[in-house]
Amino acid sequence: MEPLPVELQQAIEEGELTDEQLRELITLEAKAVGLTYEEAIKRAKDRTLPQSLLGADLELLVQLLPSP
Amino acid sequence: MWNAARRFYEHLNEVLATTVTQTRLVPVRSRAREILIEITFRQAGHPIKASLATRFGPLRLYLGQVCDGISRHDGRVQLRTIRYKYTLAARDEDDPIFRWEYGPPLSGFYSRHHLQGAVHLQIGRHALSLNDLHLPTGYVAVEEVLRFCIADLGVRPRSGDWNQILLDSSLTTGSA
Repeated sequence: MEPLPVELQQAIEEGELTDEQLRELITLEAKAVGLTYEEAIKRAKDRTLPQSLLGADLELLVQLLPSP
Repeated sequence: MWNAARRFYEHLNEVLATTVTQTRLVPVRSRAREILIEITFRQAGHPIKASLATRFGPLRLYLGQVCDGISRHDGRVQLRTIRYKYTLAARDEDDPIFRWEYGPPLSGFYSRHHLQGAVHLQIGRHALSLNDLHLPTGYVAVEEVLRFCIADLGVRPRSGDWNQILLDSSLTTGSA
């Protein structure tokens, strides 16, 4: 996976992401496992993400999104 | 809530550093849903696994939790783990050997607290993988996974009183 944008890295280090930054992080991690943002959301809810490090992280990050 | 989360992850990082690894857990929350916090190993923003030297060779440990907070009568906030995923994988493998999970109800009505993994099983004439089953467990505390790493997998503890540290931590975090 490519390095994250500096602003996103800083926000993660500070522990607080805007809604937009959370979506950006999910999009980048999803892309790294060959998925779109929407596919990652659906597969996280279905618990069918890859059993990889990024898959595990995506599953947890998706839970942080505001309820639809 | 954030202060409670900070105390929790700083405590866990201290426990980790005195038992199996100096790799640090990092909390992340979204401003849009501040009540939920994800805690996992991260470096430069990326999720990472901690490398462990076991008697079976190098393994990689992943710890991830999502917590929320409950307001108590005394005004303090008590953290509650609403989801966890802990995995142990071979160094070059994505698919974990062991995967302890707890989360929202699963379709199929499987046990919410369960163990899965890339472990071959033979049940009668049927060959299957532990990934095909959701082996029920109780709530699995981080401390018990760290204990497993030391007591069963032979990870060299980072301090002589690791057992007491894990026992004390279980009391502190309410997982005993």
